[in-house]
Amino acid sequence: MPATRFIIARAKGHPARTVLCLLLLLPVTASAHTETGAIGGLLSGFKHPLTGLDHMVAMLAVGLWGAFLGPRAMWTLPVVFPVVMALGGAAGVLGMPLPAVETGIALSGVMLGLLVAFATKPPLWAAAIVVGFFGVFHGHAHGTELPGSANALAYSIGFVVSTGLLHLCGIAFGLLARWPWGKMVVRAGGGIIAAVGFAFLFGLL
Amino acid sequence: MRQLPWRQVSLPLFVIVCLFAFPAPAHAHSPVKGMGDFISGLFHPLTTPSHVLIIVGLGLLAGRRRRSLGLKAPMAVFIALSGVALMVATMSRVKSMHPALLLGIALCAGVLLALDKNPPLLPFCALFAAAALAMGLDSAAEPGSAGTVVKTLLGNWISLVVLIYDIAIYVSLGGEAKWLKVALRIAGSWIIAISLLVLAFSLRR
Repeated sequence: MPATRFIIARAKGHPARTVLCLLLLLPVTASAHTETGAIGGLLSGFKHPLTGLDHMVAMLAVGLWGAFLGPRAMWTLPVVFPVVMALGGAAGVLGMPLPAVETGIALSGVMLGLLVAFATKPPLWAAAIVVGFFGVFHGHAHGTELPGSANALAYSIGFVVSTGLLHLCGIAFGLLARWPWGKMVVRAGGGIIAAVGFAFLFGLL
Repeated sequence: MRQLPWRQVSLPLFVIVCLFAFPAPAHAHSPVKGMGDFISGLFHPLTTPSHVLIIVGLGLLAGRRRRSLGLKAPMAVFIALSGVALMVATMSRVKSMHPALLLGIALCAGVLLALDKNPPLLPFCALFAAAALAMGLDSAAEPGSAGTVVKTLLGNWISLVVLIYDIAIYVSLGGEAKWLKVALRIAGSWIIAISLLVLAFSLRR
């Protein structure tokens, strides 16, 4: 192997270097962070919403739109979404079928992204219905994809906290809309989210 | 001061550097062995995710209530009933409570938080009583010597009470801040979502 040959060449005639090089070459297994039991379930649940770009952009869009719509929507939408998502998740866990789940998830990115991009400001109840409607699809997908071996409670805690933190990221980004230049940045962010949603809708991603 | 010759120092220094370079397996997050009975009892509520959910829910509710009505009655009910339930569970060897009951209590706390509702004193005390009984009966100490059992139960009891009281105190420090109101509603929705998902899991099994 070239690496070993390089080390031997550098160490030749220098016993001290030889010892140091040999010590560094000693292989051992790293046994930190074993993902089993409750910790495994927690980490697995926490990672789940972060591993799908379609889910992630929709979660960010919820927070983004909430912040864009104003102080009341900023907390109403991130409160409505996890509750409705959990209902969808429960349906998925119990094996209740829901048609066109993946299309619904892709459409959520498109719709929410476009609503932000066009700075649409519907009444709060209408915004809550839109967010809740798409939340069902996200929840259902998470519920059906859940690993059977995971610790249910720890998995759910990780999954909900991760989703909530994505909303908070969206809110933080959406708060830029306080400034005129920030409004443009937020609307551009909505456009990017819509583009990602379209890409998923047409199977480009 | 006599200066040490470099050649004399270099060898021990070299050995020390070599020892630092020696790789060893990382054993992060290893289980705590030899934990005392009292400490084991103290940690028990924290290692049971459904108890954590109830404790956080009740603590947040209590902290919010502290600003308007007294907290003495619900806390007194909780302290008395949790102690009695722990003793009864250990003496009658109650195995564990059904997860749906524990999650139902967490769900109630979550709904009250998310809706920003402050129930009258009696239903509020009833919620604390139900939580105390459910968590106490779910935490029977392992059979052993009288000293061991008493120390474990005492640790568990203190932990339950102190955790709820701590959370309540820290929440009440926030006063009437608007961000706190929003944070409590969001936390409530997270508790609802987690409880719903886990209830679905328990129904599936």
